[in-house]
Amino acid sequence: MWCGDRRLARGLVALAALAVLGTTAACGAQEPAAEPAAATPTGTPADAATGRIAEVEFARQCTVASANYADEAQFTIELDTHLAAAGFTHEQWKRWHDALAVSPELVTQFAEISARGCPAEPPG
Amino acid sequence: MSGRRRGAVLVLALVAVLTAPLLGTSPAAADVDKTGVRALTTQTAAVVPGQTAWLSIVWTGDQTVTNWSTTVSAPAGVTVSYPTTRGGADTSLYGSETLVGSTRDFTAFKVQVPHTQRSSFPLTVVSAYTSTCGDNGQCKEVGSGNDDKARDFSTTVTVTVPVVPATGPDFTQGTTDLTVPAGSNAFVQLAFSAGQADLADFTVRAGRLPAGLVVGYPGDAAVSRPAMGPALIGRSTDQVALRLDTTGMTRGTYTLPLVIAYTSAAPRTASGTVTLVVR
Repeated sequence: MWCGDRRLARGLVALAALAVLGTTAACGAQEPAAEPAAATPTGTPADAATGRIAEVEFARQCTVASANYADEAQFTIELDTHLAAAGFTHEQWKRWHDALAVSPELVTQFAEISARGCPAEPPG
Repeated sequence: MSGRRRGAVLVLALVAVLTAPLLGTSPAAADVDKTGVRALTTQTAAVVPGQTAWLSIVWTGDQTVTNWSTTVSAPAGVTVSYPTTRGGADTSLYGSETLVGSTRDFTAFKVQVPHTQRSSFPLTVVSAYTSTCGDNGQCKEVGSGNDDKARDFSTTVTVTVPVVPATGPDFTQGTTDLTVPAGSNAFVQLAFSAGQADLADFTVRAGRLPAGLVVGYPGDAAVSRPAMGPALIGRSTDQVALRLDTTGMTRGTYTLPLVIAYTSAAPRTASGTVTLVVR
């Protein structure tokens, strides 16, 4: 074994040790932290009203791409028309939409409604 | 390569590979987009040659992403523009800049299709977004345990815009009856609605005038143009103004002929009439 090879061997041992530590640390960082359930944000609870808003929103998502409008404002006019028919305002929709980001309950509810599929596509 | 140099290269390679986990992330893993962001739309609504239209593309994802920005590239001749509320350089999602995992939202943008575009065309759509979900799938917004890093990703999709022939009239005249006082001299508004396609350089002027009637146009021009601009945009309604000086007329009902000129695929001229009641 020549000198360079010995240094290489020592370097490899040191690097392997570092890698083991590093891998352990990285794996540790990737482990989901066990936190009390109370620390998990639950946000707005899902109820019948949020379900009806989600249905309006999902119905819109099913049809919006097949429509074209002369005016950008028509997207909102169309949404508000359907919301009004269901008894909701744009502000209620906005609050519901903003709450989606922090409410797993609302997301689950929306996902369940979406799982039924659009009329033209198979469920799933 | 000498044995010493080969050894040095080996050491450098090992340093790169073995220290990556020590830093908490592997470059390859960090670059993998695990958000599941994808377009649900492969084909937009159809347009007609010469039409300006707002189109949309629906998106979904498995994980929540933020800072959504979409840009669209179209073939030569087709113009794409974005909502001015964002500065006009890109578009985002309708509801917000965040696409919540397992939900849907859409991006909207405007295309101006030239009259020469008579076949379907592709749009290249690039959506950029930020993921705050860790490699373990935990996301900042819905819990702890992620690696506390934000990663920028983008997804590129191609969607087809079908082009179909226009149907129906090029325009309709909304105002066909006017009542003005005898001895008056004031502007009146005539409404016109475009058909499916845009009508460029839309002008209206009076034809052969009833006896005693004097007609003027805004700015003392020879014709009147739509209030919102020189073009009558497809499926929109605009107004043109005519100044009617009836001081030389007697009370009665008259027919006021109109000459309407515009450019769709080519320059065209059409005629119209307004029933004018002077009372």
